[in-house]
Amino acid sequence: MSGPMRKFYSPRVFDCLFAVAGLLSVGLISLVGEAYPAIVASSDPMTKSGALLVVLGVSSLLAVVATRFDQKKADDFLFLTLIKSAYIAMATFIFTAALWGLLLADKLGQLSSHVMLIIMVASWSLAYLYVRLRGTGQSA
Amino acid sequence: MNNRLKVLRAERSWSQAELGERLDVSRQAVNAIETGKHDPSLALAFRIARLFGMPIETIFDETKG
Repeated sequence: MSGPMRKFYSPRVFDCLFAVAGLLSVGLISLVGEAYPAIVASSDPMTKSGALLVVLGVSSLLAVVATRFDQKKADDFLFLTLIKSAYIAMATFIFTAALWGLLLADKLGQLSSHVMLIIMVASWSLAYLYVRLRGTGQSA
Repeated sequence: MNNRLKVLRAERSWSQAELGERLDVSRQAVNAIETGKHDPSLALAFRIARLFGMPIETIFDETKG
């Protein structure tokens, strides 16, 4: 951890970032009541599928580069905190979507893609808070 | 994992921030290791051992803290 990025890759900076993101996402959860945006059927499903694969590939490459950069610049405590909280957040997001779909979607309506994004950010923020309080060790 | 980091640091009258500077990690990382909330990577464990001039196994104990 050296150079101009040293100050940025501090747990304190990430604490603030996740606190702001978490508060914003919880505040925006009121959007849950908005109409589910209709998905228009594509006239060219092959092109749409191909485009999605390209975007997926480019995004995963960006994520690999970003993760490598984070690992290089952050100390192992911060990096492990980010990894563990992201792992918990990913599972939280999948469980939330599955439980909502199975139990509540028929009664309360589907969740919009905007709300899904908010749930993802809220999940990561809450998981980050949990990992910062409990630690990254095996007993945490 | 138990460790003697806090004792070794106190013997040298270093603050957590000072030890963090010497190890090139954040103060929070030093605190998390001392309180057993974070198990350092092998590379960091070697840096700690080198800094204190001791073998790793005299600083870290694999039993749970």
